[in-house]
Amino acid sequence: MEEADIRAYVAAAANAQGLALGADQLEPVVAVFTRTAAIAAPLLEFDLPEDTEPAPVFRP
Amino acid sequence: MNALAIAAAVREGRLRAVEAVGEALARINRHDGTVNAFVRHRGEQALREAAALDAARARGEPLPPLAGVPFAVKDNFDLRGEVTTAGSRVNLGRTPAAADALVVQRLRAAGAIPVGATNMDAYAYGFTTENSDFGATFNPRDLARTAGGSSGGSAAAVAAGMVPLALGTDTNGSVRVPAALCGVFGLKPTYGRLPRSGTFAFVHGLDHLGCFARGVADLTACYDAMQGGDASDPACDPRAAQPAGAQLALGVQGLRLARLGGYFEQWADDSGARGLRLAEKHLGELPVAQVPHTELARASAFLITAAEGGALHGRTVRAHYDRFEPHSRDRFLAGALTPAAWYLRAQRFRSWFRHQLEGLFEQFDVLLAPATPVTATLLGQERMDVNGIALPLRPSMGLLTQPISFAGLPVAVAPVAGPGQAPSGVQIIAAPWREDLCLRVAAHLENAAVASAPIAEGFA
Amino acid sequence: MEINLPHVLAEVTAAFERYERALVSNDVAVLNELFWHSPHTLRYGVGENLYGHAEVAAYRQARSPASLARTILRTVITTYGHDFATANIEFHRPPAESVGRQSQTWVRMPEGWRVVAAHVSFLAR
Repeated sequence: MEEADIRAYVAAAANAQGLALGADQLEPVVAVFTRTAAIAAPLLEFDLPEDTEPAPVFRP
Repeated sequence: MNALAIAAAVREGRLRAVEAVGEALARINRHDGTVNAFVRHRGEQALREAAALDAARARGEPLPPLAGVPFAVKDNFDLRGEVTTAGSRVNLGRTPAAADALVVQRLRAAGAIPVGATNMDAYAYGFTTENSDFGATFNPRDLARTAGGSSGGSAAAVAAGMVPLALGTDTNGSVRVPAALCGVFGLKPTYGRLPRSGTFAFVHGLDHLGCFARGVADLTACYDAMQGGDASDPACDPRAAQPAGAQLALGVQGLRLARLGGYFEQWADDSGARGLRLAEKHLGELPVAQVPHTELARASAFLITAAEGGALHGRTVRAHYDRFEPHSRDRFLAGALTPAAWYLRAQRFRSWFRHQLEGLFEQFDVLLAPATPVTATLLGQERMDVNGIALPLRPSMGLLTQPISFAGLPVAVAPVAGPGQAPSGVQIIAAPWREDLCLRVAAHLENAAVASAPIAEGFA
Repeated sequence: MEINLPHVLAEVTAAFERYERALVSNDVAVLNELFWHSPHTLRYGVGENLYGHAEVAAYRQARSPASLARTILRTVITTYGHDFATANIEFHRPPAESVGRQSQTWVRMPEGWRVVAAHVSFLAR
C-alpha cells in the first residue's frame, strides 16, 4: 500500500467502525498500520495451498 | 525457601503458614520499592487465610500439596473482591471480581495463598513491562534494565525472592521473555491446556496462561495444580490433567533433541544465544532443525494479535485514549482496522504451519531455541541491533517466542547465566500436550547446574 | 554507448530475477554460479565484507537458510551498451523496519551475465 493510500484507508476505516480518529491520533495510528502492512506483505504473497482451511470450528 | 520446601515444612509442622506468608510479605515490603513488581498486596487477607490453614493442621486435617505457599498473580487474573486492572488505570473503575480466576481457585484448593497482583504491560500488549500508569518493573538482576513483559512483575517477584511462585500469561512470549530476562524458570503450556476462565483476555486465539518459579520441581507442582479442563473456556481442551511431576527424574533419557536454526539464529545475537550455546556444551552438539517460513509464522501471529486485540479493546482504547497506555494505544487502534483478508490469511497459514511442525516432531522429541534476541535491555531503550540489523526494540523482544506460541506448542524456559553475566534463556519446545518433555529437559539442565535461578543478588 | 537497449535490458532482467529467486530460496548453487568466479569479485553484506568469489561462496554455504523472504519496493536496472549493467533495489524485510538496499554490478562474461560487485545495507533511520 502506498503511504497516501494508507492514510486514506486508516481515516476511512476508523470512521466506518465508529473509531473516528482525532488529528493527533491519525499520524501515530498510520505509523503503526504502515508497519503492520509491511509485516503482512510477505504473508500475502506466500503461495498457500488453496485447500488450507483455518482451524477454528464452531461447535453449537 | 522454594515452594515445595515451604509446603513440606508446613505439612510437617516445622513451619506455620502464617510464617511463610509473613516472610513473603516482609520481603515484598523490603524490596518492592526497588523492583516495583507488585501493583497491589493483599497482606491481611493472606495472613487470615494462612491462619485458617494452620488451624486446619492443628485439628489434624491433612494438608494439600502446596499448603502455605505464597504466590503472586499477574493483574489480569481475577482475585475475588479486587479490581482486575490488567495494567491500565482505565480499568480502575470496573466492578471488583466476583470470584478468583479458575486456576487461582485450583491453587488455593492446593493450599497456596495469593499475596498480591503484579505489574504488566497494559492489557498484555508489550514485552518490557514499561507501564506508564503503574511505573516500570525493574529487573532484579540489573535494576537499570527491563524485566521483560508483559508478565514482568510476576517474573521479577520470583527473581527477587519475594514469592516462590507467580502466574503470568503468554500470547506471543509474555511468560517466556520475562522468564529469560529475569533469569527464572517459566512455563507456557500447550494452547488450550489451562483454562483461562476469570482472566482478562487480550487475544482469544493466542492467549495462554503460564507460571514462574526458581526451580523446575516448583514450576511443575504449580502447573500440575492448575491443570484440568473447563467448559467455560471454549479453547480449553477437555482432556484430564496429566501431572508431570513424577516424570522429571527421567531427564533427557531416550529423547531426540535438536536446535532450531535459520530464523532462530538470525534473530539472536551472541548474548541472546549464549544460554543455548552453554546448554549445547553440556548436551553435546545437536542436529539443527529448520522450521519453514518462520518469518511468516511471526507475521501471522502479529496480524492475529493486532486484529483480535484491536477488535476486543479498540473501543475502550478510543474512548479513553488520553488515559490509555501510550506505548500500545495506537497499536490497538491500528489493529482494529486490520483488513479481514489479512487476518483470515494468517489463520489459514496457521493450519499450514501446524502441519509443517508435525513433520518435525516425527524426527525429534524436543527442540531448543534462544528465548530472546538479546539479554535484558535498558529501560527506555527504543531500538536495538541484532546481528547488524536495527530493530524497534519493544515489538522485537518476542521475535523468537512468537512463532512457537503461534503453533500452540508447550515451552519451558530455562535460565542460563555465568558469573557476572545477564541471564540468557533457552526455549525448550515439545509437541502439543508434551509439557512433560519440556519439564524433563529443564530439570536435566537444572540438575547439571547449566540452568539455575538463584534469588537475585542483593535480594536474598 | 546506448543506455537500456531493449534486448540487453531483457537479458539482465532475466538474470537478475533468477538471482532473486535463488536468494529467497537459498539456492546456493545458483547464487555461486551468478557471481563471477574471480578474485576481483566482491560483496559487502550487512555484516561482512567479502573479497573474491571463494569468500562469497563460503559465506553462502554458512548462511542460515531462513528468514530470507523480502518484499521488493523498487527495482532499477540500467544497461550501458551491450556488456555492462547496474541493478539496484529497495526492499523490506520484517522485522527490520528500515528500507534495505541491494546494489549489483553485472558484466557480460563469455559464460553469461555475472555479478562482479554487490552491496547490501539498510538505510539508517
